Amino acid sequence: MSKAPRSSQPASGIDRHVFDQLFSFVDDDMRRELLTQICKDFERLLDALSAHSGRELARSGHEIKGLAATVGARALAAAGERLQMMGEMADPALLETLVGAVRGELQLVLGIFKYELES
Amino acid sequence: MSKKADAPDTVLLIEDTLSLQMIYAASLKRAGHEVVTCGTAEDGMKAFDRLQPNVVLLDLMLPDRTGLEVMQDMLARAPGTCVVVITANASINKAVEMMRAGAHEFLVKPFDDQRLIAAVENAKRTVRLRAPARASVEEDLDVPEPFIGRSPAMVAVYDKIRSVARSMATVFITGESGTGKELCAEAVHRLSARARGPFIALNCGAIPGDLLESEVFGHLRGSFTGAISDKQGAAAAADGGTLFLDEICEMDLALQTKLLRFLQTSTITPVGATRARKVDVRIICATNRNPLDEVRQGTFREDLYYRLHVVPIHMPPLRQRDDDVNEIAKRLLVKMAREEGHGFTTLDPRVRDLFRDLPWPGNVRQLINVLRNVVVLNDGEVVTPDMLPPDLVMRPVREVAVGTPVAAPAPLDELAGCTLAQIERMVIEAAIQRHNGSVPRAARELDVSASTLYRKREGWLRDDGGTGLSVVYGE
Repeated sequence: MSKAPRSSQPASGIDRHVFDQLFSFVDDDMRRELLTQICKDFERLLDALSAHSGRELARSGHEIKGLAATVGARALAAAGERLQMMGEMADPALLETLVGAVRGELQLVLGIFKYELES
Repeated sequence: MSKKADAPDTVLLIEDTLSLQMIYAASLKRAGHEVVTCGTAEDGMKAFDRLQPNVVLLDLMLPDRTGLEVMQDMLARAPGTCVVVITANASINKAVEMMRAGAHEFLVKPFDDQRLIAAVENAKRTVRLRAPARASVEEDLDVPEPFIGRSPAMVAVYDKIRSVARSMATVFITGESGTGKELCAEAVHRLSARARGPFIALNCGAIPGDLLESEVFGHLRGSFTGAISDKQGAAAAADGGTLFLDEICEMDLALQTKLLRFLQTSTITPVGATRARKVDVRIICATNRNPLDEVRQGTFREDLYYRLHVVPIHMPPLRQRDDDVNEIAKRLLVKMAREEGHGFTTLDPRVRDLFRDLPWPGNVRQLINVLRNVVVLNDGEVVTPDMLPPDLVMRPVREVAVGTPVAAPAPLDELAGCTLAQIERMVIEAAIQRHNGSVPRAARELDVSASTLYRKREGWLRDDGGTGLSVVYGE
């Protein structure tokens, strides 16, 4: 849960330092349980990106931001924040761009967590 | 909540993102805390009623209700609960809104596990520190010491004091002179987690403007003529505790700018120093004026006003406190009688009726002076009307509203027969009225120090037995 130093351009994927900190104090069972839950939450949020309402998308952006920042997925957190801030007021084309950016980053992060879960 | 608490030490965590719930709970359990988790407001309220926890970690955005609504429900049921709000929304406005509503702390995601544990332990410490203070006044229906009275106006003040004491929010106390603004500030400090730290009070109106900066921020030796040694300012002295700035509206604009910087950065730079120093101080300020009027008149910085005016508490005047006046009078009477070696124990019903009807422009301070006069000059068991200062009984008390236009000064002929002391009093009172009750401003006009005027007014109150009638009691 520890924060890594912030940079102006968050890198894609996850911050390994934050990730390691997050799992440094849990045993193997808890690690598996936590990884499973994180994957479930990210999958649920990926589904939620199919919504058409700007309000719902903004809410998903808010949740994505909170979870992603906590697990060290800083680029995803930044994309989630943009969706949260602009979701309700953006026109459909911009909204599609924003959702596309979040979806791409979310799939990448989800892939990393699934890999961690299987390894 | 009247039923006995089931698990007050358990931390109730309400967070709808399950993986975050697991992460927070794991951190807290590792630090030795018992945690119960919920994912919705509905489940959270059920668990709250069942467990009656002292500390709640509450996500601001829940699927079924907002965190603000949930927190308000919790505090209405158990005002002693410390609610730590967690959110991914770092908006200052949101933080201010939550602190005003009674949140103990505000955590912005992402936060590390140490920060989370510290917030929970700080909240638990607050609950522990508050417990003995509350127990000591339990028989007094939870009236925070040293307040007396159960009028609805004061019960609302007590509730606010208890709510705000839990948080770090800045408190802005307003009210007429003698209504207990400093007592209110002390009560907030005493019931807060900073109770073991210092409580430093500074009257901005009683200190000449050119010395005030040094009084607040301190100075280094040689930084100005007369600075013969280093001086620690009030802000540094209050480190780890509370700084109470009374008569804040009397502070000049230049110093207001420095105070604003201090509030923004939590650092102080003593006069003559080149390096700033970090301090951990909670600010409580007070004024007898309407601070927003001062902002409109340009004498008080708007940005400072919004920084300070986070949680306002208005102290009601004695005349709006129902029968509190008699409850206070009786307690003070017994105490003063003991001090003076006299036997007074109670008030005659006629005195009680009179006390209830008087407007008490000097509020509790005036009541104290009346009672002191009675106790010193009389003896017996019951205070009867004939013992009261004649002015109080014979002459209806004239209440001059703040801002009332003052009559033109009396021609000199009309002063014939007055003593110099009486003329001085008339001049001073007229000056205070011209300045809408501001003693410091009247003092500036008369080219004397504010403390001189305060001293004179105290003397008049004593002489009158607490009926300095023509004075506007509103400093």
